[in-house]
Amino acid sequence: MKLAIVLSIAGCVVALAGPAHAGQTIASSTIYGAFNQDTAECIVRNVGKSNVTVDVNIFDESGNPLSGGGNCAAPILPGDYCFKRAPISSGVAYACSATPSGSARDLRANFVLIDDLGSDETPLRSVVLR
Amino acid sequence: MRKYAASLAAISVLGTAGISHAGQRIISTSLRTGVDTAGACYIRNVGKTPVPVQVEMYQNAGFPIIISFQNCNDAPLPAGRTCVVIANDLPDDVTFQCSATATGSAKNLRGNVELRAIPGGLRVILADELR
Repeated sequence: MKLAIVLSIAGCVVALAGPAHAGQTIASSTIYGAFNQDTAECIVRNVGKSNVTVDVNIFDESGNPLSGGGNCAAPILPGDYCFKRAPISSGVAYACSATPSGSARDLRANFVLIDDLGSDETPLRSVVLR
Repeated sequence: MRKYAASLAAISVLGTAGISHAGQRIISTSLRTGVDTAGACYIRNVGKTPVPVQVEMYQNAGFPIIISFQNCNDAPLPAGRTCVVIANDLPDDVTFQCSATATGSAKNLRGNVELRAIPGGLRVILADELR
């Protein structure tokens, strides 16, 4: 009987282990903006109370990561954010993923496609990473 | 004591059921087309293994939409890849939506349906995520 109880409790622990979010990736869907899209930006905010190191990547439809700039190589301070930005093509859809070294619970992220050809940047589309 | 153990076992089973995700479907809300619009539905596999998936785009009352291109339904979607279903000319003044049915879990699928205005460069004018 004791064994049954222990096994049942172990089952509960295993079942509840999912929501711990350890090393979880948050990811956007793949989005397209318009022919005049030329820049993609992924913005990741740390809403927690400790620093978070996060690997942020922008991908094309084939899953190839884009090279670009940004400041996500350094840990994100509490309340602060980092961004990754890359030039994109007009006829392709793109996505973003963010993988923290630990939990993703305190990350909020958004992926934006931008028309940056004129003097002003015009956001065309955005989607949340989850 | 026996009742207590049975309750714990039941909780375990219920807890585990939440992560089974067998044959899951994700689906968008309905988007209204207007005139001169095109549609696209993107499905991304953010997991580490291929996912067989069937993606459909349809209008009011389940009527199918004529698909111009698709690369989702003939082979499993590899890890990290995105597939798309495109309709170059949506029917006027209907609602349309997109659904993706995974053979197993849909947990690692991210989906997006878009309505695009044909005049002026196929700009996305409405969009929704599949959930």
